[in-house]
Amino acid sequence: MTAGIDHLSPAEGGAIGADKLEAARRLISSLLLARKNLSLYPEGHVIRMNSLEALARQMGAFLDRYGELKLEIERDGLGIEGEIIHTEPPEEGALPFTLYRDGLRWLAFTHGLQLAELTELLRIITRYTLLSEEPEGDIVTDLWEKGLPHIRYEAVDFFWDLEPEAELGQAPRREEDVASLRENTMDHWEPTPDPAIDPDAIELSQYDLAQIRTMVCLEEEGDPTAYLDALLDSLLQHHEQENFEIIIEIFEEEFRAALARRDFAVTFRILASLPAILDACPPEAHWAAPMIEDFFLSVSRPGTISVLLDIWPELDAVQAQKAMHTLRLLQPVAIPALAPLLARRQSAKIRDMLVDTIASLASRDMAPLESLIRTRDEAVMEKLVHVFVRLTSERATKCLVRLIRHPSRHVRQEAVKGLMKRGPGSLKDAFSLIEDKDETVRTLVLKQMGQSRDETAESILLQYLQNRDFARDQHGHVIACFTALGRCGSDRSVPFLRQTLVGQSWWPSFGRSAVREGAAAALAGIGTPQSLKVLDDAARSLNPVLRRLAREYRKG
Amino acid sequence: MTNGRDRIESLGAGLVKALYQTIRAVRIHRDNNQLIKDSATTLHGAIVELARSGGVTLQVWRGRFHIQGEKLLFRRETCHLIRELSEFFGQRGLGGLVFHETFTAASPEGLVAFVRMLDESARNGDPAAWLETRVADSGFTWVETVRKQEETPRDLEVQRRERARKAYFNALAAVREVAEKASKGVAGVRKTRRLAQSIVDLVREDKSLLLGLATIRDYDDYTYTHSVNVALLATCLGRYIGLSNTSLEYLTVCALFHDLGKVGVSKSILLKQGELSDSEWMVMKSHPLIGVRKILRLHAPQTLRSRIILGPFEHHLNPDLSGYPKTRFMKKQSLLGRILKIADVYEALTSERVYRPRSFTPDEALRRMWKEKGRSFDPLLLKSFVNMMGIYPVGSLVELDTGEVAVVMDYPEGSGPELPMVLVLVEDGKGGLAPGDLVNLAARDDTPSQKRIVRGVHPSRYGIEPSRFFLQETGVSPGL
Repeated sequence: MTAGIDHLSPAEGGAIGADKLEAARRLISSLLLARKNLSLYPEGHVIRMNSLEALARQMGAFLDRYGELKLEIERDGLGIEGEIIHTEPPEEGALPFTLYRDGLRWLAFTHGLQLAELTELLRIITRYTLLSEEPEGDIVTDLWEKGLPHIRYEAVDFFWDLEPEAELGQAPRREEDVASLRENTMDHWEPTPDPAIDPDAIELSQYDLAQIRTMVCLEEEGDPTAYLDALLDSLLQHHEQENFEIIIEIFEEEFRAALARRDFAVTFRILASLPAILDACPPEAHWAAPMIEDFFLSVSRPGTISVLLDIWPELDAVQAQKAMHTLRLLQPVAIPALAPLLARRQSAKIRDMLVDTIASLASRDMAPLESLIRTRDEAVMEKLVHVFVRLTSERATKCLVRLIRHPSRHVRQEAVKGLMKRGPGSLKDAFSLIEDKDETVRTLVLKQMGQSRDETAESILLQYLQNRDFARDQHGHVIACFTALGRCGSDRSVPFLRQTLVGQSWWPSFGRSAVREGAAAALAGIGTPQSLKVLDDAARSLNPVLRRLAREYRKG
Repeated sequence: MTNGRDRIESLGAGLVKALYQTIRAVRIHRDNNQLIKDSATTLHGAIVELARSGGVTLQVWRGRFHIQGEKLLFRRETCHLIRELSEFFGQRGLGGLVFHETFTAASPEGLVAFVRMLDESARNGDPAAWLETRVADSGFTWVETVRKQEETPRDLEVQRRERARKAYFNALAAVREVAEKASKGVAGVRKTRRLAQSIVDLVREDKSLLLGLATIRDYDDYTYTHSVNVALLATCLGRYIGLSNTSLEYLTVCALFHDLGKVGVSKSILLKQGELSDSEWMVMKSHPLIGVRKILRLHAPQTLRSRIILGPFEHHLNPDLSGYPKTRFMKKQSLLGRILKIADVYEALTSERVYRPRSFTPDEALRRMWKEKGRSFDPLLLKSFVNMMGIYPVGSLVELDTGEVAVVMDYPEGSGPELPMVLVLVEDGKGGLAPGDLVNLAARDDTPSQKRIVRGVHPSRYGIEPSRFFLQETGVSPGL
């Protein structure tokens, strides 16, 4: 095997034309530039595109004129027709060395070459420029699989040349070399000959051919779950810890890869099937349960789940639905990684499904969700509060109580709403926001308090109104509080309201006028004969203010 | 690259047909005859089309035509004219013709004149020399006649055989290396993939050559030769049913690795004569699972790994998922697994094993498998396999109705699964057999002596190894 540019020499029978050589040299310069730009700039970048297009134009012109460009590859250089056109030291990163190391001996570009083919070639070369110790692929493999129609090549199996070829039958015998095929159950000798095959019976009909085409198509599409099924079946039968561990590790890899490619059928298959393996494990495989638990924990951690952040906004409802099936099977430790998804762009329907999913995980263990209360990401918290609202546990309520002090108005509002729905215990907590600096929060608290007749709400409001001295600028707030009392209250509040309306001095003052009006509103809101009678009495009062208020609120 | 070959194959067949017709036409008609004009125009067009990427090289070697170095396949419709044309060239001492790039400037009339010269040259003492002079005198610079050479031409076909031979040995080495490394630690699959690609290319180019190689038996290195042979057979079947290159690559790799689980099974079990005990069976039946574990430990890209697990896992399963290993999650046997099962059983049946008196002959093996179609094998795939192999597969030893013994060499395209091309064996005068004539049983030349196969015979009856004849005849023998 040759190993350097010394091998390249002028072709026999006359030197190559100087113009062709020069054109080829220029082409290599453009190729190197395009390769560099392809590795430096992202797809679609103008510099990258320009250099690729320039290379394609130049290559097209060369091929138009000379028919073909066949690059001869050496460790330290490239040539055409035996003439050197480019040299580089044989080291990692150098184009000739990269191609040579992979076994390529020549690379030919033929007429009809497309920009897409050139781009693909350079992408492949760039991918394998730096060789890892155990590469997962190589340039030749990728070229072979892509089958670029106008790029031909010859590759040698360089790695075989290192060892002399063994002769059949002369290889040293190894203990484990010889195997038998007796396990083919049909493989036993019978002296009776089998009947001959009728040539007509093996003729493939049109129907047979169509069936075969279908089988081939299905194979080409690939069914990733079939492979997983084989692994699951292997797991069922591997009762040694080491073997089990290897397969579990593969499942973890597969889970990550499937998540990244949005193959939620695969991720679901893995998570849904592993518990069945556990059920089938014999008692002596006591290590299996912790191993599977570890697997679930591992795939639930941000290292695995965070890949969803990139793909989440692109999911449609159907994909999202499938994703939820998987996410619901994760461990609750997944919640901190799932929470940021709530803030991504998505439809209300998908977000609602995600809230449900997180709530379902949190219902198994609240701790990961609780830990998020301290998050400073308001956008996430504004969505996450819905998860707390959806949960009914006491710990969730406590979280909501904490959230009513959250800096975000939206969070506070949602927390209030959530708390109000939870019954008497929570009302008091929610009511602590009655003098919140934000009017909308105050309004919301009162709105929630006044949603229906409620003894607790009535007591809280009564207590508040009886013991509070309101300032001059709180007129609206006072009226709103009495109105809420009117909505949730009963005859129990009537004595206080009567006293407030009619039992005070006639002399006008801010405090008195506001509470009088509020009391009138509350009495009208309660709407019982007893409360209305107070209003009717007030309507006959000698105090004109009372008469006016009573008339106004009695009319409704 | 393969598309280029298909194009040459198709255009080349057209060229040979047009040349044949033009020769026949010039023997009967004058130059102004329409038939001559039509034939010459077709021939001219065929040459111009092929000459687009340079000149056209047409060579005759061992009765086969090679266009641009690629061997033309036998097809039922071209079989007879290839034979006649081959004789035509032979009678004139010609090994081939080269049409140069300048041919595009040649007129159809000039081409007719050249074909006339070709035909007339046989009337001279030294046709090749006469032809060279006449071509030069006529100023036909666009064509060159090539004299027949006795030594083997170093053409693409020879290179292909060399590649095939190397690929076989390299595949053996690769499986051995992966098996050893997989037992000790992590092994890579890069070499194996590159090899698989070579095998796929070779299968596309010359399936018969690979099927012939698959008849190699080496019982000292059985697991490895078995794996390589299964890979060749499986890849040929995969190609036959139309799998893509990438799927064929996966199929080849999983076939090469399908018995990795056997490496490590004790020799006392593998070579035990007589029945295996229950515990020995358990060990034996675990090999697909051990194989899967070994493949999982290979350093392989996720896509490749997911495609090469199923075959080794499933190669002892039946289409209804009976067999072993036991399955609970699996819903159906994969296509690669079904192909592998057929190739594996066929190879195993045709190999000598310690626990039976002799191996099955290829046709016996096919008959045995045919009996099991549907139960042990996918019926459509088995049908395809028998079609591909022929009822008497390449490398089979057969007895002809003339009493002669022959080795099956090839199945010309469209010849039917019972009408192969055979190498008749003749007595070598030392009590053995030597290669005789190559006979195409599919050729329908109306001769009363047309030969037919009566039955397959076991090579042990004649004390020969048919694969040696096959490989020797196809030029693959050195090094074996």
